[in-house]
Amino acid sequence: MNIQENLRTPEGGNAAAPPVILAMKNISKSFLGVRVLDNVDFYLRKGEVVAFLGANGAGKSTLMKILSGVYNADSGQIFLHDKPVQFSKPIHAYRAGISVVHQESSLIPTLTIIENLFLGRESTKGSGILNGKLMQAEYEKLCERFDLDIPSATKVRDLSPAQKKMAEIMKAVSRNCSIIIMDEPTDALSSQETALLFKTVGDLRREGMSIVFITHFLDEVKSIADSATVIRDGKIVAERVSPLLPIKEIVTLMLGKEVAERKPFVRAHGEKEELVVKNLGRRAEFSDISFELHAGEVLGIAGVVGSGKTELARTLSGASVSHSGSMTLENRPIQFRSPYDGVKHGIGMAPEDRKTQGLILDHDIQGNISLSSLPSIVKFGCINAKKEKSRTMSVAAQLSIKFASLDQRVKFLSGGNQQKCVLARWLLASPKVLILDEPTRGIDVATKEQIYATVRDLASKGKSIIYFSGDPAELLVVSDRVLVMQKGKIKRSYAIPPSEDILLKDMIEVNNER
Amino acid sequence: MSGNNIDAKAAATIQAGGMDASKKRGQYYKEILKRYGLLISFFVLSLGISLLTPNFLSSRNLLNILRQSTIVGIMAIGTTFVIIGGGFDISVGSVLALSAALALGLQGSMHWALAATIAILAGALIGLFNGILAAKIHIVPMIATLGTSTIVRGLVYLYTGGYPINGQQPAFEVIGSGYLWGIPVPVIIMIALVVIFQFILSKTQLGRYCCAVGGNKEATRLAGVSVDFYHVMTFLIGGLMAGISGVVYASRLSSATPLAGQNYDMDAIAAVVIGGTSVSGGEGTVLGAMIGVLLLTVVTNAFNLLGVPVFIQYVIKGLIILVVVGIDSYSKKRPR
Repeated sequence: MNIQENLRTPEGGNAAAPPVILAMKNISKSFLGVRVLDNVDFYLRKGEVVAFLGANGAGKSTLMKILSGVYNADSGQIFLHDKPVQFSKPIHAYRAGISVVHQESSLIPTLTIIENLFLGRESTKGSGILNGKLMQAEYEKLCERFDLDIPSATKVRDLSPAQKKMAEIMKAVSRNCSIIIMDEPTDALSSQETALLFKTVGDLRREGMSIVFITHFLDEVKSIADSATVIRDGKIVAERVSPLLPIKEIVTLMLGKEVAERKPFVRAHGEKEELVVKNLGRRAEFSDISFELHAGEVLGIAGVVGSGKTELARTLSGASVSHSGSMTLENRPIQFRSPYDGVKHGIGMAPEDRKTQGLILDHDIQGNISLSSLPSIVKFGCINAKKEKSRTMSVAAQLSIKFASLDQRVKFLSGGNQQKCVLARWLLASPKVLILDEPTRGIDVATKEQIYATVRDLASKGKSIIYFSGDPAELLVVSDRVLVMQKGKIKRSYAIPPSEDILLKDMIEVNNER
Repeated sequence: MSGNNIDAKAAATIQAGGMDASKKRGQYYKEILKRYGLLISFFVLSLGISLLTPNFLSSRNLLNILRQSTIVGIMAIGTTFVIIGGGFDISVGSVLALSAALALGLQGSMHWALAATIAILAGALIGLFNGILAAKIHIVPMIATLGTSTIVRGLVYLYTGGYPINGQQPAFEVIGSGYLWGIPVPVIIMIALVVIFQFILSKTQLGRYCCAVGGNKEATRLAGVSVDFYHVMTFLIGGLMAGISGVVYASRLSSATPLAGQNYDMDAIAAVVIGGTSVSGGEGTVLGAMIGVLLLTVVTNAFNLLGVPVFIQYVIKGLIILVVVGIDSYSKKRPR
């Protein structure tokens, strides 16, 4: 079949348009019965930059993971240069010329930049002895092309974030790929570094490389992309629209027009200041964070990945130490050296990554839930088994965790039930201040609603909650007040949560001083 | 064309949804096997050996096996805690030698009970030192205890001057060689310690937190547990048990050589792992470790009864360890 003819293109099959090199057709994918991608079409022409946009959980990373061979699609086909292809492993996609520049660095910090670039394809004279000269020459050529001046013997751990990103891109380019997927490449970059990156992307495009550019920062789109494709709830809602579209319209596309109506929660919080944070800072992560938290209030903190919100959540709970600023809890100054101190003073945190930081996956449900409240059911060091069972049972029932028995290992539970276990732990420990970092990530809608209701219920009982999230919709549902974090600072604060699109704009636009 | 291929794959995925029930049943059997597999293989092995060697089942031989198990057995109780906490301790063999040397050497100038207590406390102190190196200074436990092991062995040589210390006060002899109700005293000591430490492991806050630290230290830390303390405690218990086993050793042999306890640490680790404690930490039982010790002793005993040369015994013992650990590690690391 001829892809070029069958494509439905907005340009109306302009003959002068460069050839389509990649076409993904009718891609569908479900996880645990939840449809994440629903008959998605996506294509790329030679030498173009497509910005791929969507809210958290819209399906953009799933589609890119299918393209790079990390996941297999449930149905649908991929055509590369008009030929059907099937990538069951990342190496297949990579050999076919598809490279991914990941959000996190895939370079090995203890090796030098040149060793990293040639990793796995070192030039040898057929004898296994490295041909340093040949690689050095090739490296210099690459540097010239990228207008970079980094000595080849520099260890990757000594590079700046931007240089690391450039090295990743050089690595991708040096392997003769035709398609590069860049996942949030500007996340950790300053504005000068971003400019340098954009220049490189422009050069690559001129050389005929096709680039998928995933970003949270919408104002970057118009300066770099030829077109923008927007995905929402697993469906493409705007295909190859102009990147010059006003940001407001793109946001509307990302969110969808109708924002679901929910019955509003009762918001009645006291005036008592529970926690006061002044000029809190942590080197290279966030600075000058000040706010107060009242008893019985849910404070939402909005921010995209890399905004510093997770680092702030960790510091507030004692998981990391602060480098500057101060905190007072009920008018008493506090300084935590560990989460043990935090819990002792009545601050608990449910971390962002429940699998690696929230739960002991190989342990049973009961042990995971009672972990933070053992001291209250212990006599002379011995655990009161009856109390432990009845108490965990009651919080598990309160959150309607689905399980066969309490001694089931949590690794066999669904994501939603796992998250409920983490929440149950804190319901049981009952701290004065509960910090939740992305508590609904990767969870089905019904469980999300349940978590919102639980959070509101806790607040109505006088607990204070700080709710960190990258999803503006849910912040509107749960929070009484909202702060927006961007690049390690509080950018804006709302006494009453604004509309979803304003919040999203605040999170993702770099310069929108009003 | 590849389209059919993808459809077939999708169909297979849909069908896989219906296989949940049988998959769950498989999981159930796997858990059962994991829990009781060791016990079953222990009895099968013992049965096989008793058929091959009629002497095996004599009460004399059985008591002998039990008594032979005590020194590594007591050590393995501590090693269970260390491995459950996510660590390794290869210094316990040297600690045994030091404890044995102190227990006998100090008896020349003080009451045997005081000497034994000091010997045991010395073991605990070295365990504490190991724990601080591993938990606070973050040295990989294997390397930290390798260093300690060398230091302690050196201390033993310094203390003994390189010669065995012989002789003991008569009352001290009871610990290793006495009988109570027809049962060897060291066996009674071992059983008592197993009961106490199995209780600590499964019923107390200390035991629960030790498991939690080994299961996921960061998650446990974030839950508000002072993880370093419990991490250190696992090593302290490891050293304490090695100290006790050193005292039993000294009493039983009434001699402490500077080379005592070599390879005992490896035997203890092997027994613990054979006993179902996860090499990566987080779960395990003292009882399992005891069965592991008995299993290793039975194998050695049977080899001796059958006249298998010692050198071949080493090879086979090593293979048993690799197979057991291999099954555990492979089933955990295999991608799903």
